[in-house]
Amino acid sequence: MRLLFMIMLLFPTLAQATVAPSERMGDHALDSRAQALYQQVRCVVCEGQSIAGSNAEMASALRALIRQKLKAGQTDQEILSFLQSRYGPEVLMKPPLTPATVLLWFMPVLALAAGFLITLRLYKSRAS
Amino acid sequence: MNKRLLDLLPLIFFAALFLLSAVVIFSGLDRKPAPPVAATAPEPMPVFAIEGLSNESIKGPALVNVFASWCLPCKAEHPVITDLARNYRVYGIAFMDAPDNLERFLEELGNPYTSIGHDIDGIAGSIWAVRGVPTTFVINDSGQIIYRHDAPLTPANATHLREILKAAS
Repeated sequence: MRLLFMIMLLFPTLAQATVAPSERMGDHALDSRAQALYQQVRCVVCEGQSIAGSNAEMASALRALIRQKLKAGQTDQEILSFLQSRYGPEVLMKPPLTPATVLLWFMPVLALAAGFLITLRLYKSRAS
Repeated sequence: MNKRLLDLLPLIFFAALFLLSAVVIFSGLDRKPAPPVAATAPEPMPVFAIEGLSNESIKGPALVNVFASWCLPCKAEHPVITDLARNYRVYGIAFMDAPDNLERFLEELGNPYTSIGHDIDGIAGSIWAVRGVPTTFVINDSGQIIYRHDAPLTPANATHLREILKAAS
């Protein structure tokens, strides 16, 4: 029992991932697609949180909109494109790759490569 | 000489990164936040249909006011909406509101709305891309959104909206 409790403590976020009964559509495939979409959409009134785990009214409204579009047979991409057309690219948790966001996407890789090169050269110069 | 330069390279790299971040942050601090009242490039009204209201039933020039009985700032702007409704059509979208509460709200404060859409689950509000309530849109005579106001309306805002509505008629 204690072991089970300790294992459960390792996964505190799983509790948030469950869907409220009132938000279930009664179709397992649609529900899991909805859940995946919620994770990709930013809550527009809460900083740095997806609509999946937010209790804000706006988040609940966006979840309802996503469910309506899923039931209407729209694809995931159609739904995400619609949200982006209404709220702008910042509504997506992962901003799309555009000229304005190139640095955002590749700066970590560039910094890592620069650090690696510097270390390598220092190491070589010490060794010689 | 070459070795000393190499030793300094990480320092130079991080100093440059630090300076770049400082410049970005301080230029950001100087920038004023976007005003809540914003002119938008005219865009067609979004397609929506809820009980009591659809995009086809909205006839411009008009205002579309997204509000809720549970929202205190909406209560505060209600006299301004009532005043604007004397001269212009004001359509209401009751955002995530229980019908009973909405009815009580309108009984208490009066109903200035030409018609009200019941957006119980908030879908219409998100189609209109609101970020909260109250939000007010100005619609011109060809049914396009020409202005949005993401905050409660004050009498000063109302004067401004009247000018825009007059120009849009």
